[in-house]
Amino acid sequence: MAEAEPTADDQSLLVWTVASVNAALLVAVGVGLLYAAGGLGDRLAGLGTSVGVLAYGYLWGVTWWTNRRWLDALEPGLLSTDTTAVAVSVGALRWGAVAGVLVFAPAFVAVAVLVGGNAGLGALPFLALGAGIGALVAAGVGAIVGGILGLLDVVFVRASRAWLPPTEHPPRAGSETDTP
Amino acid sequence: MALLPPGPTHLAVRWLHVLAMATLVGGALLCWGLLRRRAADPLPVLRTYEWLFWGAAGLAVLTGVGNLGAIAPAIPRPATSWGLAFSVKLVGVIGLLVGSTVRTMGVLDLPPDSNALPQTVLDRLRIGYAATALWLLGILVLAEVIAHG
Repeated sequence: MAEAEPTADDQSLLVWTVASVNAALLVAVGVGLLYAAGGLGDRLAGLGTSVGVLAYGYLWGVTWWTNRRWLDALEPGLLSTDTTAVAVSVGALRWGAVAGVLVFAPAFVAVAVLVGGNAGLGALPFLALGAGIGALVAAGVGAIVGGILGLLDVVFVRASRAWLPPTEHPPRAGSETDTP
Repeated sequence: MALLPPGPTHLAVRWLHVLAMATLVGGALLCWGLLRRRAADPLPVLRTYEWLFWGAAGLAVLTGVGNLGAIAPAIPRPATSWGLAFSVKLVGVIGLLVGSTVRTMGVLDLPPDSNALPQTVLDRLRIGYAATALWLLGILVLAEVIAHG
């Protein structure tokens, strides 16, 4: 099957799709686990609707930015048959770690403001230690989650090819291809 | 912890949830209808729907959690009939997200010219959008059960 170079619009839609499904899956699975454990009601009541909306919007923004960086750097592209699961995983682990730290950061800042406001400068060493350990743990968790989501993306691509039979791709106007 | 008054916020969340679901269901039915009628060039509409789908799906998950927040902390336990309907709906939502990712990636992998698509591909796309609409309608039924018992 001849592969067409993805257009900028295709790449933007791919990033939008992967980012949106990542954010939605993380929240849906998180809600399911909390509900099964019996802690969902108290957590939601403590969070409040407006803060919850802001938190989801921030998570969506983080997944969009990290996935854009990851997918733009992935050669020859997530949808290409030449892209290996290993190449996908390496980038997904790296950008998953970045996403983990970015998700941890505002939560830590909120805690730091509360603790710092009450304890003053004396809390600074404790907060610095917490920031270092917290960032490391967040990067590790983010890398694991990112790696899992990256492998899931490979499964999704393969499933889409099994669903829609291969089609000859004529070269898109204005794009360069390896095939004559 | 609330930045805005809860009453208007919950109303806005519910309104956005309905808007998102209407976009998801209506768009899937539109794409199915175009493919069923063998419209001349359906791909631009399908791609536009995929853009809208992921915005609306994200919004639906966000506002769905917001709707739960409106009844928190008094959310019924998983062992109740409400809990069973909610659990099935949550699994349905995860299934929708997974299945739709496969659908969008399939659409992205298509050639840009609709005329180059064989009938088999068009048939499978039509079935895919019909399945999306039916799955969403199933989720809507569960949402009614959860809201009204």
